[in-house]
Amino acid sequence: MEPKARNDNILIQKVGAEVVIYDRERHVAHNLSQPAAFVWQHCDGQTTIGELATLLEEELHHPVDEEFIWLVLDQLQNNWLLREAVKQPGDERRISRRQATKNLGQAALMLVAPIVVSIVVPTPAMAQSSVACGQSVPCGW
Amino acid sequence: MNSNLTAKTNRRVQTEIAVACYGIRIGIQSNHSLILDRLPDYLPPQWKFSPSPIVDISYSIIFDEPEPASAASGHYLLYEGSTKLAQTVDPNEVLETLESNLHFLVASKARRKLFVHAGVIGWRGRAIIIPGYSLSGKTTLVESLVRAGATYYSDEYAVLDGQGRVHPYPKSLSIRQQSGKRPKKCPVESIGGLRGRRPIPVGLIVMTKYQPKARWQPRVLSPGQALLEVLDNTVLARIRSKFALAVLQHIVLSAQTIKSKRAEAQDVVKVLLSYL
Repeated sequence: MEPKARNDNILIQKVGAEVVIYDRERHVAHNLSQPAAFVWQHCDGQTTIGELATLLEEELHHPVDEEFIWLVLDQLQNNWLLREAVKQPGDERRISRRQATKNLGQAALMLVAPIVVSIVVPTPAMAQSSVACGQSVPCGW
Repeated sequence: MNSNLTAKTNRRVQTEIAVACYGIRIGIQSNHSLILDRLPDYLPPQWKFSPSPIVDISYSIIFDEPEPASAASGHYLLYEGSTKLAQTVDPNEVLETLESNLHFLVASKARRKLFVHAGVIGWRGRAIIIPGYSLSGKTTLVESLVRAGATYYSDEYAVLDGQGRVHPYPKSLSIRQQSGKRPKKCPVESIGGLRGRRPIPVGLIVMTKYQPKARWQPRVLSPGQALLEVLDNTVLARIRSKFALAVLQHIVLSAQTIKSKRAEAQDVVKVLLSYL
């Protein structure tokens, strides 16, 4: 089965080449980098992994192998952004971003990191309290 | 409403006022005239007396006097409707609690505006907004920017409209004193500053927080990353998420966003102003 993007109970906001997705079930917001946004938008349940790699290659004007597509899908899946789980056939190992991007050019590398960044969106009560830093992930300084 | 409280409150109330702010009608009553005399300093910016006695929300500040023979001091009780918010012997504390609640009330009820926890100044017709919660050092940075000639918009909220312009919310600056002392309320004029009067576009978003001896090493965030950072400081991000995403998209695409820890505020003022 080919990957299919989840489209229920989410808000989608295009921000330039990136996409911010607000998950209304979990109150989590995700920022998809340009390549991740591109892959996610092409996950229609019919496009194969190989075709996704080819399409992204055309978009970035750089070679993209399937390992990178699997990495993106892995992150999309971990963030409940795909309808159903997809599994890399034959190889159970989890690939790292470094492995997946080793064949990309320097310009493309700048586009792929980080792939998906997420925050837990604060409640009004959180927003009222004296929290010195954001509630969640992108607080890295 | 709790009937006992209603009876008690009504019996003891001496004065009450109704004010309107960002379309919200607020009633405040007290049995202590001194409290109501001081109240204007603790109301949200741009408040006006409301001609209507009908209010959306009411607060009561009751001074509970001790018995004449008692050695105990009196105390102040703050209620929102029938819910007790504070009980203290310190009138400043009760007023500050009321102020904090009123700011949050405005931020959460105002229509057509998005409130983001942020300090805001104007410079050369554009705004620098510094999102951050309490204790992140935004007031100190805003104060330093104003002392350097920037126009004061807020040390509490960036009030954004549908086009992504930021409106003034010029409450008195809450300048923190030595540890243990309560913040001092300073009208911006008292530090030689001017208040912004009109909405302006956002030119720079600064994600920063104070850390002693930190080096200023700003990195530029992508628009999408910037949107998440600002969303993380947005009061009604969960409730008005669609509106929030649309408004924030405007500002992150039109303004640059930088992120770095900072040490002393004076050390980064010139650098920040040079972005615009």
